[in-house]
Amino acid sequence: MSIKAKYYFTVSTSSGVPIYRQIIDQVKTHIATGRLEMDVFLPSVRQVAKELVVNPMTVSKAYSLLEKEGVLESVRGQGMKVHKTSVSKKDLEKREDQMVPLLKEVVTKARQLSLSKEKMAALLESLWKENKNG
Amino acid sequence: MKQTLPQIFQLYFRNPSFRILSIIFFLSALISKWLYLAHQTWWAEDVTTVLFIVTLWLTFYMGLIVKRQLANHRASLLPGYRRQHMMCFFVLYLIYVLVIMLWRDGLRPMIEITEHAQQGILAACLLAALGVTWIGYLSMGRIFIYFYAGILIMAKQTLYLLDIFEQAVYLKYILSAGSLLLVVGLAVRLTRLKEDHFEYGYLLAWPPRKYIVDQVKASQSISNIFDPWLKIFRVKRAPAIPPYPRDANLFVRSRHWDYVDRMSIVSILFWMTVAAPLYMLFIQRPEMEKFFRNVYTNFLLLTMTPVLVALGSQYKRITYWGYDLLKPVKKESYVKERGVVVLRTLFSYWIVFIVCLVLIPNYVFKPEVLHTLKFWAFFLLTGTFSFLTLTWIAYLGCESDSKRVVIHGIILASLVLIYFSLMPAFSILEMVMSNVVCLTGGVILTKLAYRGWCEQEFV
Amino acid sequence: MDRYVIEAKDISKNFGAKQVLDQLSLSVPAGSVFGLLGTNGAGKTTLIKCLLGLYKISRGKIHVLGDDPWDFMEATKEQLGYVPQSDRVYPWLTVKELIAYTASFYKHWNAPLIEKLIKEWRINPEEKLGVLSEGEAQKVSIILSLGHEPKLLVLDEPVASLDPAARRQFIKMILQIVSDRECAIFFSTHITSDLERVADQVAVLKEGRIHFHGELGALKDEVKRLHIRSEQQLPDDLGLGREKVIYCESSAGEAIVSVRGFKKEFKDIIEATCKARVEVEDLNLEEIFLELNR
Repeated sequence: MSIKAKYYFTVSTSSGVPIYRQIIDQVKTHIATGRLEMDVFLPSVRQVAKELVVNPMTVSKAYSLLEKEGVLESVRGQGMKVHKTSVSKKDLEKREDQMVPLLKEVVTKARQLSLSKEKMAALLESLWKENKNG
Repeated sequence: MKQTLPQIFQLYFRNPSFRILSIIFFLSALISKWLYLAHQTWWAEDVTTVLFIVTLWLTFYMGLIVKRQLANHRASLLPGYRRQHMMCFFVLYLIYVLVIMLWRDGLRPMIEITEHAQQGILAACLLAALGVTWIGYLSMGRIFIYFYAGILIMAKQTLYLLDIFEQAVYLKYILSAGSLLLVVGLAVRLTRLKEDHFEYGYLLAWPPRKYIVDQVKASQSISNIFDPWLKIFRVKRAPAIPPYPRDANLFVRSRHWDYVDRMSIVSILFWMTVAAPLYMLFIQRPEMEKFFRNVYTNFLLLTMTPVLVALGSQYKRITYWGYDLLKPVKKESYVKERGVVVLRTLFSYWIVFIVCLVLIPNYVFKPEVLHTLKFWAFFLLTGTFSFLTLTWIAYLGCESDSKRVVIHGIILASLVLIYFSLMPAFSILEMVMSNVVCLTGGVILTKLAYRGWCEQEFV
Repeated sequence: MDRYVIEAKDISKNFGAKQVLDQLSLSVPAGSVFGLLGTNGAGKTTLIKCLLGLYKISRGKIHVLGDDPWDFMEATKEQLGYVPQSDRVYPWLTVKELIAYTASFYKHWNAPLIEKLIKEWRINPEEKLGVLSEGEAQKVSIILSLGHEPKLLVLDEPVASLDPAARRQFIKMILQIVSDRECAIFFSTHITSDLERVADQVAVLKEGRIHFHGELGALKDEVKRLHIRSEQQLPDDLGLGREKVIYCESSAGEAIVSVRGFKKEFKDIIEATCKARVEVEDLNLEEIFLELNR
């Protein structure tokens, strides 16, 4: 079963984040949310490059960095496999760091709309429940 | 690699103008030879005049074409490109030269010529042809016009040239050496041609506006020759074009459009101060005395050159007429003013030519001619005939039906040829009548041209 | 020689009094996609023409595919493809004839590839060159440069006249080439979003010199914009050194500073030295280009 890169990754050329880093972050996010399961093979560098219309060297760089970190494992003749799904404490910090900018926006907007902290907590609860079910 | 040569030849013969010129070239060579063999010698000679004129344009064009092919990034970056194109060019040139050499019998029926004289003539022709090719290569269109005029003068004096070649046999060797030099020089220059070289810009660029940019680059170094004359005559290069004088009369308004091109007044002055004295010196030689036997033989030169120059100076600007119309000026008014500009240019060049080449020399060497009515009728006729030709061409310029253009073109060319051939034999009455006809014709054509151009799309 | 397809060392070029290139050095690795950025009039076209031997350099040395460009060997020309900014010739020739004409000079010509591209890019081969629009003419130029499957492809503003769909096709085509075979691509452009996708090396040309030259990822890691808020006066160089600061804009207590050679520690350094709060903004290539050209 081959994965279509288009459905898993999106790259933005207008973002300040280099493309290879965008791919790395998205791989890690998918692993953390369970969308990419252990022992699943990622599409080849060529395929990803072709579907996302980016330079294959960029994808290659992302893959090799992920391999160095131990997130992906290279299997001879077959490609890159998801190696780790367990999450270390260090990863937790990193993931929290990713949420912070979004949350900052939420807090600012809530203040603009004069929504209290308690109201926001309640909203978060109900949305969390919805997401779990859906 | 074998397939390149046919591809390159295709470049020559698919070029519409080159194709037409070549067809006329080969046809006239063929027809003239056939007429000579059929003992129609007078007609044979006339057709060879056509051949002669076409050859001049053809050599000029070939210079342009070879540069166009080599003033290209491909010349430096495609394998074997330069070599193959140059080979093709020289082979083609050789073919055309051989055609002329095979034709040379066309001269024989008219006059007795010795072998020496004939070789001398051929050597001279080859040198002239190569010179014109060089001018085409350097894209010096304006100089070509003057060169053309010079060659026409020389051509009319074939008989006297023959005498020169008879007496000075060594001349043909000098001329041949000169030709060889030009050929080798061209080959060397073509091998080395890169974008840094001043002649890289070329005539007939596409799209037409790029042509002007390229032509400016190419002619910049030529115009620098005129700088000393600018100082002598204290002509200042104007820093900016003044605003359009909306309330002035037609004549003054029209000067606005001519502002940039009017720098040519400097070249007029240049030629008057340089060419006129040279010309005087030249015609004082005993061989040249016969040149003035009949002043009326220079009709072609005196009428056609101003027309060509006037048209040439406007051709440059024609691609900008669309932009000019964006200014707050009505189209009818603009067309009128443009017309005045062209006519004024024609008039100024005609006056310069007629004064330098006819009035002054005759005043100095044969003042009695100036008292005859015939002379002044002739004088006027050169002007009115140019006027007619110019307005006719202007009228054809806005004609979209190509068939009509070709027909009119043939009629006009024949008219020119007839007048040119028969002018020496005209009586005063015939000259005066021609004046009237030309003038009326010119006026009618002006009106027609005006109406036609008002309907034109200026893109 | 094999590592770099283009090597230029201290080259200078001037037109009369105007110095366009000033002791410029550049190297393009084999197989890379190299983007040349620069403002209009910075000299991109001049640089490209010098690298290909169309202009003569007044000083310096250039090696392209191991050969001197002023006088290329024929074998080198077989490996080289060039797409100039505008290339209008022979308006009365058709596209098909121009292709046949170009093909006749090369020993190796991939005719099926050309046919495929002509179809994909929707060009009518029977059309006369004179009636093509700027975009179509540019497409033809690009296609012509690919027929002999060169090792080095040099393009001067190849997408200037192409609409977004055509530009996307162009990028896809470049990526196809790069993944199919060993081919280095060198092109100058303004359109930074295309470069972001496709280039792995970039160089920024400014005032006749190369101001940055290296991996695109590295450039984006090194050039950042800092938003600083502080109670006290901020020193001009923020404690980092003058050469690191590209541009600084400040008013009471707030400053926006763009820096080069950025490292993660800078944030902490500044926060410590200036008792400030620092936010690091990532910049895309367009922003970086604007900052470098202030």
